[in-house]
Amino acid sequence: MKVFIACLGTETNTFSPIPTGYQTFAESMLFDGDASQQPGQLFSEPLIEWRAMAEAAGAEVIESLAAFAQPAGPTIRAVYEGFRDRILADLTAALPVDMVLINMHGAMVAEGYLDCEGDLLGRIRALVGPDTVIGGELDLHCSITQAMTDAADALITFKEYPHIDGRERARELFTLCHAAQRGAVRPVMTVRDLRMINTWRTSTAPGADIVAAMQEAERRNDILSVSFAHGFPWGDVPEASAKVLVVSDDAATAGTAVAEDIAELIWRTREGVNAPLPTVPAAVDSALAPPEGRDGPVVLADVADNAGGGAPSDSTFILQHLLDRGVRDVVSGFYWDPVAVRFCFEAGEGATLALRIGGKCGPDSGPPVDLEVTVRRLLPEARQSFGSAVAPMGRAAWISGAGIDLILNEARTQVFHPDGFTQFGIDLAAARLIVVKSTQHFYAGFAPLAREIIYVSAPGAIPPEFAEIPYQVFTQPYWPRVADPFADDAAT
Amino acid sequence: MKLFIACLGTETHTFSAIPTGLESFRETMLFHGDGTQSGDLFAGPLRLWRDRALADGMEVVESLAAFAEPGGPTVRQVYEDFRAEILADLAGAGAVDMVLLNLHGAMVADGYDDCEGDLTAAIRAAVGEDVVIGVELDLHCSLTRKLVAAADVIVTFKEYPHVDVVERAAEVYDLALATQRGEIRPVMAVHDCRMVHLWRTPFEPMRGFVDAMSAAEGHDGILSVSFAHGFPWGNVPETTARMLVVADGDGDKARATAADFAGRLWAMREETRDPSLSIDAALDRALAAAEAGTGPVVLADTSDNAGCGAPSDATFILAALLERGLTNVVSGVYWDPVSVRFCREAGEGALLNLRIGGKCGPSSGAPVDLRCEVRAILTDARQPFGRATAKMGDVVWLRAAGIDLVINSKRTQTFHPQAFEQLGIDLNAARLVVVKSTQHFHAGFAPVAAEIIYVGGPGATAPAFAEIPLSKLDGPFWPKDADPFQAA
Repeated sequence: MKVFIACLGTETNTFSPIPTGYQTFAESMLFDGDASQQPGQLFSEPLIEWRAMAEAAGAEVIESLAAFAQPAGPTIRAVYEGFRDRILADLTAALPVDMVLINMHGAMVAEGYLDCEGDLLGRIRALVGPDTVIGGELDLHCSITQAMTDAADALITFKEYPHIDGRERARELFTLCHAAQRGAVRPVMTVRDLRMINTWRTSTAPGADIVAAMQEAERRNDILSVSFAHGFPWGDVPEASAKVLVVSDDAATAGTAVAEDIAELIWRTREGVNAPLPTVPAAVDSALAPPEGRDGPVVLADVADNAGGGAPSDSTFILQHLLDRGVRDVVSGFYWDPVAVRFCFEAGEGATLALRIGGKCGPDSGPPVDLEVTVRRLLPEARQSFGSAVAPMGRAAWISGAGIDLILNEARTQVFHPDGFTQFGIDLAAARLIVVKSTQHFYAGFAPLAREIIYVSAPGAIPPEFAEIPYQVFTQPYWPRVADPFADDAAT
Repeated sequence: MKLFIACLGTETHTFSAIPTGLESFRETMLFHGDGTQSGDLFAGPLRLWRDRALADGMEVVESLAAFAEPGGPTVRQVYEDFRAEILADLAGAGAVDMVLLNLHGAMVADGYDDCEGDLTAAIRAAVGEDVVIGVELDLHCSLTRKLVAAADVIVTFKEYPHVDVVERAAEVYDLALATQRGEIRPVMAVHDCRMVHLWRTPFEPMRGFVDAMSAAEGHDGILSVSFAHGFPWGNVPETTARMLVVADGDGDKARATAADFAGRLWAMREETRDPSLSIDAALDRALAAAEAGTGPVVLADTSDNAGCGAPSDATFILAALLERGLTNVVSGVYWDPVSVRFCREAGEGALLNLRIGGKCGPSSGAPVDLRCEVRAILTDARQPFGRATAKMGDVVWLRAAGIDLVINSKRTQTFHPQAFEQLGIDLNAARLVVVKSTQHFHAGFAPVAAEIIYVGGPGATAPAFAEIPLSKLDGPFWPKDADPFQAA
């Protein structure tokens, strides 16, 4: 048996001012055939699992490109086409193969390609023919398109947000595709469009209940896999809405029934995920008067400036508010600010300087903040944990000013884990407030130390105002913009 | 005979938001003993000294050649390491007969208000009294007592723009060699002018003043006449302008000549007042001049000159241009590594929403958000300055709202039209050209300009000399005090 594996992805915020070109891939993740032999990153871990399982099964592994970019705006056409054609050339050279496993994001848009994954899978199918099994693993913030399900035999998305199950889903996909390759199962995919745009966090109800229901359905013999593709709200593409995807063992009717059940649960619990988040002043009010009975800092999540959703990660709206109110004992990060980082490294640890912080990328970044700061600690190669993987932060500086400790860095990334702060020597337990630029991935690491977690609706590139996202391409009715997105269908 | 040469310098704007560490030297110039093998702008004097010495049959020991784009004070460790390297090289050279140093004269490090005095005194202590020490300085220098006491001969540039760097290096070489041979006995006299200002030498009456300095040299016992303009944004005790005269053995003659030139400078102070206009007045005048249609009107953004330690990303004039809706304007060079990165990622021909400038602090102004077309991108570009070239890093030509903007990744002032033209920009077709430079642009732009207008808007190097908070300066100074001698 011969197994071909590759990875190509990024989450494209089609509204982001930050272009995604070659350098963004080179800085985030770019391996030329040896990703599975290197320390694991979030998007190379599936390749590591696939290689191990394939070799354990006595298969030959042909590994192609593994490329992933920190989310931002559309990928430059030549960059996408170059990566795609590299994968296709490697595949052509490897033919015939028995199985193709691709790790993708599912919300990648390039200039001229609103559905990169559908394009790539379609071309792979055209090369390998109908008899080779094609499996794809996807981030749950993906658009499941007709082109993708037409081309692939099986697609599986992460179930968890935060994404702590990438390796599990990879193993599941291998097992499913290997069974299909042997003829032990015959995967059939059923998709149910939810016509919903939102963010579902799976660490708490109702997201956690939805995950449990999917896992329960997977216990049925005729159901191979159940995925909830949340969609990516800031991707303006024709099939942007959330969907349920069921892979059955040649049992489309059962698959459709399961998809309906899960869809009904998601719809029924929708108001639980759409509670309006507090504005910056309200969130800070709450944070300064935390609930009794627990110790520890209050964690504020600046969800609107999450680099993982294509935001610049240098917005100053919350920082300026804290400074205006004179709130002290605050830790906040990570601000992507290569200019300020440069100045801190030039000045050295212990230096005091007047620094202009953040506000560097556009209106979503807010106005820059001028602050007298002390450079506390410099790390030439900072990093943070994300599950079992390690995510690079680039050169990074811990600075203090006006009672606020800030982490500035050069490799744009959201906050995944407390060790992104503690590696500098910052004592998070001693902080009153911790403000993290992240929508949800921070949760797994910060929940154990937080007295309370408050998601904040600040201005920014990805404010959680789902009804108001200015779509041009995605024209279908969706909740919460309309109360019942299926109402027109019922009328006709 | 053995000659020891080295270069260490930067012009320190002690109020600058931009720290000067090792990376700033690396980006501009940093060689450890082989600077003369480069064509680098700041290695020009070392190259001349080496060539002349080898032709004269000397052995040459070359040490550090380090220069940083002007910014804030140099990090202490960085300066001390450079000084230690020069002193170690000197000790390793054994007995030397002559030391020639190319320094700036306005370098400040944490803990050192007078790096040049500190370094030269350390060299003097190492070599003893019999070795000749010659120093070339930028004219924007603080000519300190400590430095003058440590050196035998000091010569500063005479021209601003600095078009005479190599000629002055030759003068230092000739005077030092004649001293070493016992043909002359240089004595230096310094006269404090108690003035803080900028003087541009292409224009009268400064042109005549510089010519008179040159004319006084080479006879009647006068070896060299320098006018050390001082550096207005260096908050150090001896930052005022000084006249320096080197005479052959006759101290009184040197003092009298220095006093005479200082008196002439004082007498023409009103005529040499900074000509800069406010942004609005400058734009009004530029638009009137552009009506004549004999080429572009060049506006110099003197308040944001990287060559004086400004960030070179201020947006005050850009915002005024946009507010007036002026088009057919070329402006640069904006230091904006974040926007350069985005443009490189997007590629030529891309349309982007960019946030331009305003990235370093209050002196940068507010950033400007513009929808831009990426017209051209150059990697590792350079621009001419005199006979050498200066690094620009990666350079991008943007077009937005009828304005052509040039941004780059290596902070530098605009020296030459090539900074724009190498991208394909036709300056002759522009109505206005706005350059971030105080004076060095002049040599290159004067031939193409219908008129040159100096603009003194807000910024790190705004020409408001009376208002610079020079807390460390000893004594009163003009123009803050109408008569600093009386005030004293």
